[in-house]
Amino acid sequence: MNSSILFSNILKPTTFRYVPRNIISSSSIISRRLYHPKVIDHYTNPRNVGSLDKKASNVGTGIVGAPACGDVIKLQIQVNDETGVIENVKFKTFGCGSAIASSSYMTELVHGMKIEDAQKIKNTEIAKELSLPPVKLHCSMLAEDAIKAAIKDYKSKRHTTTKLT
Amino acid sequence: MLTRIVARRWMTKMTLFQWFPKTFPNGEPQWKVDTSLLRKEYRQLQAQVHPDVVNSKGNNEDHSAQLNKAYHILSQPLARAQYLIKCVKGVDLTNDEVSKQMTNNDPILLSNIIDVHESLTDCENENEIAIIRQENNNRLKQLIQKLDKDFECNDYDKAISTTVELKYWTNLAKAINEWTPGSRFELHH
Repeated sequence: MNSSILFSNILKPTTFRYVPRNIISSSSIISRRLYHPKVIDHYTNPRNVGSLDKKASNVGTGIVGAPACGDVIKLQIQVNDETGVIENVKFKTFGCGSAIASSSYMTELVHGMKIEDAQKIKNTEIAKELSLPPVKLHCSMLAEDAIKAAIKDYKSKRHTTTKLT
Repeated sequence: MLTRIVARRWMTKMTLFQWFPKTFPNGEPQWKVDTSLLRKEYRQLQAQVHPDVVNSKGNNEDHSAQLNKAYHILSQPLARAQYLIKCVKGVDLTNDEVSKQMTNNDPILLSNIIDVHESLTDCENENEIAIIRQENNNRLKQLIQKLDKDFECNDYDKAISTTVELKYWTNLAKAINEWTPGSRFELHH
């Protein structure tokens, strides 16, 4: 890590009032520097951003949040009712770079997968692929929660529609 | 030197409220704060330890930074609520695992957050931003009033969920402040 960047930030003349803002900006520079190229790739060029019709019977929606950091992920899957294959997937994430990259990578991973297999994806798989540092593991956890919630929503919809017909 | 070490050890055992005896005479963890009094006392204390003022090679810089941190925790509603809950209930809402166990993911709240954030991304000018900012400021105000009530009634279960909600909307406030046309927002934490 380049310590000169850190120091130039801290040594900037400030009044008391601006000290915390300064700390925040210097730490964000450090965290940006620590991002792995794969994270930066998914962050600058996120895959499958968008929404699907949440009222459609073959669309499952998962919305999850991390109360500690305030990140929120919405992940939607469109499933082929016959084959159980995820044919389309979209996400929207409000959060840090790692959360955006984790959900983007998750959408790439589950696209074309059967829901049974998608359900088994562990956050460690995402963390490993994106080389997330330990402090960012919870971001991959949130992406795992999101796909599970989306599958659960899809299954509950399917359950009610089959019951009705 | 020795007294300073002793003093520092003693300080680490103290709650942050006890660092400011003029603002919190009984030293008990509490929600209500006279922020102008706190700011005044902070400045007085800082004047005694600030490395620019005190010309010593010792640990004043460290002390000054800790004091700064303490002041910012106690002066800001979100950080103060999180700290108070930690002091009184031992629940650390800044720890992801802990806060996940303590709070239910409220789907209505979360989809509302996504929607508002989306409208922020779609904003094209300052006027549209002003509306979202105004709405969010009202939201934050209401949540702080809710915390007034929760802490007054000693209802920590409610205070925990209100604090979590306040965290989400405080993030939105950050996003609003950093908004520029066509930009995407990234949280840093």
